[in-house]
Parts: sequence; structure tokens; C-alpha cells
Amino acid sequence: MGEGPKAPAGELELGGEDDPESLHLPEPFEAFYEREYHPVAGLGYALSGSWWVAEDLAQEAFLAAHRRWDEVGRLQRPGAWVRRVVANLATSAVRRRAAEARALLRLNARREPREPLPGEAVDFWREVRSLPRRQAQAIALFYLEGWPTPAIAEVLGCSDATVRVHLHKGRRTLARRLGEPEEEAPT
Amino acid sequence: MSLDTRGRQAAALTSRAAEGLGPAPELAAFRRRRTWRRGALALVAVAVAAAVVWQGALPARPAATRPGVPGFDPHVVAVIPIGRPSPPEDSTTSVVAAGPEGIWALDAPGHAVARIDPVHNTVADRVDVSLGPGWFPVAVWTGDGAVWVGSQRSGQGSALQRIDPAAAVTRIFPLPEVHDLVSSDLALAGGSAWLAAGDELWRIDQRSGRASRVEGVPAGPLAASQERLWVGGQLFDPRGGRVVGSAYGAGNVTTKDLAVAGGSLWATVEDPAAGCGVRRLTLSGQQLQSWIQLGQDGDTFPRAIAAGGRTVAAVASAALYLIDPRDNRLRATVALRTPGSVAVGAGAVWVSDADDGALLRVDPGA
Repeated sequence: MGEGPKAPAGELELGGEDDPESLHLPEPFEAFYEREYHPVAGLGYALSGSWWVAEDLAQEAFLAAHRRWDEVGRLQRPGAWVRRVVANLATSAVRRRAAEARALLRLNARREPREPLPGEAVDFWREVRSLPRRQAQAIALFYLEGWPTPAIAEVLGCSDATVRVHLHKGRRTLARRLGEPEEEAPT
Repeated sequence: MSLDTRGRQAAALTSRAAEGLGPAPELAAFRRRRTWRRGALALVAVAVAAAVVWQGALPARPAATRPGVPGFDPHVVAVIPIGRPSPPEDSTTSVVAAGPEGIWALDAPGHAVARIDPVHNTVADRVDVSLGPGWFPVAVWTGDGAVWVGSQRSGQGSALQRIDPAAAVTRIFPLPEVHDLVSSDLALAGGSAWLAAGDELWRIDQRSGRASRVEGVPAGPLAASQERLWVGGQLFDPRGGRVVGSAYGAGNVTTKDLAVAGGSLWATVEDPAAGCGVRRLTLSGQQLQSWIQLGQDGDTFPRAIAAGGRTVAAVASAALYLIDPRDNRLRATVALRTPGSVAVGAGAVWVSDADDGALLRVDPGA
């Protein structure tokens, strides 16, 4: 749309396309899933505000990736593909409601983190979710993953310049609402 | 504390909390859940269909008389293997297209487009669309006497192929600055191809081959009719290169797909007030001709729509909705497991199966 849960920026930069091995030998899905599940669920939480929904969205996205792993696994960044699916699902009101309904149906299976998320983090993501959809997605990826704007652009399916605009507007609004000064500009 | 410090702290706490959820669920549990959901959806669809028929809202056509494919809704009259699917189930990317150029389906893993023989419901031939290592075709459209195939190379731009099936000539338009064809749409108007890719609208001049980004016009689903180009809810003048109007109520709804047929513009919309469904508008977009709510109380947001002849077909999760443009009524709800793209042509509705990579031929029942 491989990386570790907190992949350094350099790892996310595009390249290696000329290496045929990197194109045609996807890693085992299970390894990818184990490594990426929790950060993807974290993104789902940031954009939905519910751990139940976050897990449902993450599972939905990994299922989609699993079904077409032959193609998704060959992408330079399959983790970006999964995050993109989650970001789109989480910010679609209809899909989120469906995920909430499914989560409610699975009362016995639903989980919460061992330690509840502190209030300041809950409040921060609530303000992020109140931003326009693309700004919220860009901000969540910016802080959660620490990615540079080209990597975020890959997930969001837009240009680097567009991501910079989303980040600029979103961070300005967040700073005003949270009463905090902005710090350094996004890279 | 600064915003960045607070953001990073929130991110670190969230990552730790996510780890505290426990191990990632077993994949087997996924499959069971998926199977359970599919079974439940199928049961619900059957129950809804039975209730509708019982109430006399559908023509009482006995299923036994329809030459349906075993294991599918009786409206499905043929299943044509194409290849394995590539776009996500909820993608709006077009992998099947219909028009005067024929019925075409994308075989992404096979790097080909398949021309469908609608008489025998088979693949008549395949056209190779491979562009080299790292490239993947992601979408197919028809228009202007040609078949158009969009391909992308992860992070390194895209390309559009214009295939003239009669002359067996292919022209390639390189699009190095276009990075998202997974959520894309194409329309032909004013001598140019218009490509909505991600958040951007691009104009590809067919003569010069030059591609240019249209500034100030956010991308959206596209539809063209003569000299009109619809970009989401905005009417765009393709010759003048500017927005000249907007559709009825466009500011209040989310539009996911558009189609033009029968002198009308058809739009799948989510309206916070009225729910989800299909709007039929005049071609000028100024007047609402009809509103067809879909799902229970309008809770179903169709992601793709196609129209032609006496059928308008809208695809949503696990269902295909067939609308009769003569009376703007829902003619049938066809339960499908994982419908992808939809096209209308050759007297049939064609739906890609996002799970199996097959093309389903659906009897529109007109």
C-alpha cells in the first residue's frame, strides 16, 4: 500500500525493487502476523477508541492479508498494507459500527489490556479522532509508528506533500485544543 | 509539555497497552469466526429473501426454475474462474469492466486481463499486461473504445495501459507521480482520461500522453457522460478544467461510487439523516429523482455501482442489490459471500468474487 513494530525510518524507505528475491519470496504469514498484530491493534485503538473494536479491525485486516498473502507478502511493505486497511476501516462509521456490533456479540472473547490506558493518552487519542479523517490517520501513524512522511503517504495512498499538509493542519488544531505548544516540525 | 512530547507519550502508552492484550489470537480462530460470520450472513440473507418474497414484494419466481449454480444464490447463473484476487474485499478498485468493448476481468496475479465470452460464459482470451518485475496490475476499466489497465509498482509510481482490443495495440502512459491505484477510478471525457488516485485527480492527455495533477479538486468516484465529468459530488468541466457545479445535497453525504445510465446519475451515498442507499439524480445533478434505501433502515453502504439497460446494480458487503430503473424499486437482493467489483453489460450483471478470484454472472431478472 517488512518492518518491525517500531521500525526505524530507514527501514521503511522504499527500495530494493530490483532485487528479485525481495519481490518473490514473502516471509511466512505467521511470522508477519505475530510481529505486527499488537502495533496494528494499537493503531486500531487510536482511531476507534475501543480495544474490542481495535482487535476486531486488526483481525479483519490480517484475515484479508492472509487470504491474499501471495500478493500482499510480496509487497515491499506488507505492514503498510495492513495498516492502511485498519485505518480505513476504523475511520469508516459504517464499518466501525459493524465491528462494535461484532465485538458485543463476542462478550466472552473480548479482551482489555492488562493495565488500562492512562487518562492522558485516552484524551489525546480522543482529540485525534475528532480531527478530519485523513488528518487523524496521519497523526496516529506519525506518533504511533514514528514514520517519516513518505512512509505515511504509502499507507494513506496519497502524496508526501499531502501528508505534510494533513500533519501540519492536524497538529496545529491538536495543539490549540490540548493547550500545548507544537514542537519541532514533522520530518 | 509540548504536543510532540504528549503525542509520543500517548503512543508509547498505547503500544504497551496493546502488548498487554495478550498473545495475538490464533489464526484458526479467525477462520472459524469468518466461517461463522459467513454462515450467519447467509442465513440472514435467506431469511430476508424469504420474508420479502412472502410479502409479495418480489416477483414470485420459483428458485427451482432458475438455472442457478449450485451453492450460490439462484440469481448466479455462471461462475467463471479468472485468477486469484488482489484488492481487499472492501476496496472500490474496479477489477471487472463492461462496455461496448466487451466484458473484461482483471487477473492480477496472472498479469493479464481476460475477455469474457458472454455467450458461453468462458474466458475468450487473455491479454498480457505485465510491465516487468515489481509491477502489479490493480484495476481495469473500459471506455473510449479501449480497455484501460492501471498498474503500480510499490512506492515507485504507476502506469496506465490503453489497450485497443480490435487492433491489438497497447499504449502505455507512465505515471511516476501517481502512487495509489488501489483506491482509484477512471473516466473518459473531453479527449482526456481522468484518473482519481487516492486523494488526487489526474488528467492524462491522450494525444501527448502528458499527465498532470488537477489542483484544487479533491478526488472522488468518477463518472462521465458526453462533456460532463462527475468527480464525487462535483460537476467538472473537462474542457475548461474547473468545477462548474455540484450535485443535489452533495455537501451532506459521503459518495462512494457513481454511474451514468438511462439519462441519470446514480450515486451510492451515506446520508447521516436518511441512511445509506442509492440516489438517482438528473444528469445535471441538480434534481433528486429517487432515493432507494438499502439494507435494514438504510444501514448498508454500497461501495460500488454499475448501470446499464434495465438494471442498476449496487454491491455491498455480502450482497448485490438489483434496482429496476423503470420504477426505481429494489428488484432483488442477491446474497453473495464476498462480492468485489460490479459491471453491467451483455444483458447480465458481472460481479468479481473477492475471495475466490472468480467472475460471477448474475441474472438481472429484468
